[in-house]
Amino acid sequence: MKLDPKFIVFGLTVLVAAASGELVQHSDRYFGGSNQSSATAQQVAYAPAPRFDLENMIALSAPVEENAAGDDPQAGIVLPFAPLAAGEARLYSPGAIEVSRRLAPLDMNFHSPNRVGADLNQYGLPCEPKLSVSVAEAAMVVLSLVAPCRPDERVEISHGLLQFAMRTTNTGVVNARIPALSRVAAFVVRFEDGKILTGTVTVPDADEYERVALLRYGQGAMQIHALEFGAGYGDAGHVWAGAPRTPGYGAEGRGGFLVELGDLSLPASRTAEVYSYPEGQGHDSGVVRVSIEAEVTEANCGQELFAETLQPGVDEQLQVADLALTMPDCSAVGEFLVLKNILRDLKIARN
Amino acid sequence: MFVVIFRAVRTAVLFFLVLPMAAIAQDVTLTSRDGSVALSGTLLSFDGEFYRLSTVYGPLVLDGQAVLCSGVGCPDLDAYIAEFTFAGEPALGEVLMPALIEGFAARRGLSLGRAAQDDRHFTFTLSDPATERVVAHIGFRISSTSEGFADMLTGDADIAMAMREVRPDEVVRGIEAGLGDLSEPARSRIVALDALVPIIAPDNPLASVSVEALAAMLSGVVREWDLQDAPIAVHARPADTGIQQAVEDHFLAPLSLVMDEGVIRHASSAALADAVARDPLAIGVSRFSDIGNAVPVNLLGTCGIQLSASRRNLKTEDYPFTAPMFLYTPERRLPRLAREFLGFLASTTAQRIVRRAGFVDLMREEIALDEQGVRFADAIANAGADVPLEEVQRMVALLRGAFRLTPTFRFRGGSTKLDAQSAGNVADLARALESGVFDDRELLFVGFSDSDGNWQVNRRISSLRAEAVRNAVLAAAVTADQSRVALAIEAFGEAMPMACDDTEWGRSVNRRVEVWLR
Repeated sequence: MKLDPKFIVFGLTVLVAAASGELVQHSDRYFGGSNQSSATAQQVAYAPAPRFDLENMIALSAPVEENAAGDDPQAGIVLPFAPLAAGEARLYSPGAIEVSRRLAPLDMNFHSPNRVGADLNQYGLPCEPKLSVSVAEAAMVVLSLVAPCRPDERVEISHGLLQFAMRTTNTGVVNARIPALSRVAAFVVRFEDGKILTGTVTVPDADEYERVALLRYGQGAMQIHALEFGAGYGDAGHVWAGAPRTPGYGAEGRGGFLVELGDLSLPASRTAEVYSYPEGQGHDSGVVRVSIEAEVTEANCGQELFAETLQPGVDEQLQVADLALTMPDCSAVGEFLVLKNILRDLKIARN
Repeated sequence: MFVVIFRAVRTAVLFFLVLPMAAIAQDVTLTSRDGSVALSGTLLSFDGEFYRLSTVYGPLVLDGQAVLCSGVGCPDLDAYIAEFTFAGEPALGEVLMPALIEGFAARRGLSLGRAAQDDRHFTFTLSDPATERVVAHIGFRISSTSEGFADMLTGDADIAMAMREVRPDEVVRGIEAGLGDLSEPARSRIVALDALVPIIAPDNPLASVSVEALAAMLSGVVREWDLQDAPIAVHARPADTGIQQAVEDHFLAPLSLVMDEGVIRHASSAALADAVARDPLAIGVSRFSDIGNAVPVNLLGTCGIQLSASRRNLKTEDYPFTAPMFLYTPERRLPRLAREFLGFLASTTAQRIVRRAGFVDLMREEIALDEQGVRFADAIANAGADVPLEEVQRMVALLRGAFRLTPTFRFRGGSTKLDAQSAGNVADLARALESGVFDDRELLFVGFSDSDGNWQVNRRISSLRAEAVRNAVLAAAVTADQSRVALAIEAFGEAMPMACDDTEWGRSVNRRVEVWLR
């Protein structure tokens, strides 16, 4: 059956109109008692809610003059100030005040959904967090966490031996691209209150990548450096956090790439670096030298840094080992401690 | 996550607490479980299994299972931590031994931690993941083969890592230091095989090089490439490293040459290999296990036979510059976990790790006749001059359908004494016989010789060598059922040369006893 889009639009319009009429007339039934007083509305008029910052939104938008040409008595005049960059536009605007006043009656009709705090957030989105995992190129997994009632919250993400911490955005979202360490890749997200979400995805090309990883505690003083096929420092084949490349580079079989995981700004955070090399796809055969380097700083000199390493061991299975690195004393501040043999070099064979 | 941090911290703290305590001897009384015998003395050591006690009767070793310990010096049996230290050769200590310890921990279900000061000084901590109890601290001091023996002599190390056999002066000092006779077979074991390999850049057109030409380049006698009309850049390791000493011993000393002073020296074999790989005018000698991004060059004999460093050629020692990797242990009893780790090294799992780390493993392989075409072609080309063609035909008829085993027996310079790798092969074959691997089959010990002298005399000499090797294997295979496997002897003298006979190393490659299975 084929429907004329015009009828669909018409039908939808009628439905929406009917629904909103119903909503306006019986709003109490849907949103709970209307205990917001009109004082709130007046407050809005004189001191607009900072969150929405209506002055600036209006002041900066071009249609101000159009409005003015309509029924706004104060319009039709030139803008009192030159238009400002969005970031600094926090100035008095008579036109905007007027708009706020006109919008106030509408705000009066806005009520928080009555289940806010229970299973809906302040925007009416369901609180129930959702985790989705999907396969991306170069045996990477895209992890998307939507937790509308948990904005700005720390989450621990783990995938097998790989563990790191991230923070949800102010809308409760986390997006991460994580190298799959196994064909059947399971992911666990743990919130601060212990709530756990899991997701599993099959990554068909996971075994085609040789991976090594460094899991760090606190400030990421330790870093992975990979020198591909005899490359020197700063050469094109030197892959590290300062020149990580992209997974696409690996997917095309052009070389390895480094992924950084975790949020360093979190207190006592775990972060990870994963270096991946596409096995048997590259045009080169030879050795990728992999080292761990740590800069000696005022903060870490003479102390121990802790990390975990992941690298393939017996039967190609990733093995984990704790690493405690004693940093040189403080006379060496500014120098780098280079450990060439903790992560084994990758021997790449041409197929 | 905090648990892991604290575990690491606690591990580090424990480590520093435990070491000095182990050194303090204390008074104990050991009583047999039925109470009938009691011995008092100073506890010298406890390895988790045996007490070593200094008594009025002299030092005694008692099985921990059979006695109860009382007194202030008694070790806490549950808190016992095995502690031992490896020292010496970087080729073993940098990558291979740590990988083997990782594999051992994984096999035992133990969790592994490494506390590192730098690339040459680190300590592994093995612990039980369920109880978080530490079971072992394994220290590493990486320096050089010679320094490893020195550390063992001074008591700073329990196990020496070496890429050569112990020298006579080190044996003497070892005996004086109470380590026992380090030249005894029981004091050493081969973990893996490696070799000296000339290397060049991938874009260097050199296809093969004779040992003489290589020596001329290394010593500066020849300074220009023939093919490239440009100066040769020679790369090497510092003179005091084990590999550089081996290069001078094997390539230069026989020709009375010394290393050129203007060569470029590198702090590690990885650095050497990568520097050579970058420069098409460079040449150097590296280890087979660390060729890196360079490529190996075949060795060419003046008679036209080429030798390449390959896994099988190292196992058979057909490649002349094979270098076994040794661990030396003192006569005293090591902690139980150390002994178990040493036992693990011979396992299939450990040998797979050896291979993965780029070394050649010790696993026996069978080589079919088809895969030995070049050898037989050389034999046919050689026939008629000294050795009659009929002798070659007899050899082909005998070996057709049989498989050559990789263990091959070679002798120390002109003597009848087996070299280190061959001595290990005796033990390996004996164990295989005892476990019945060759039951209902025939093992053929086939002797070969160099071409010095009359071929009939050579055949007789090679026959005597084959018999000696067979007898050595039989003597070592105490529990083997000899009725289940036939052990025959054959000899063909100089009929199948592996290398040219115009150099001493070529002749020693040719003097051998091969083992064939049919």
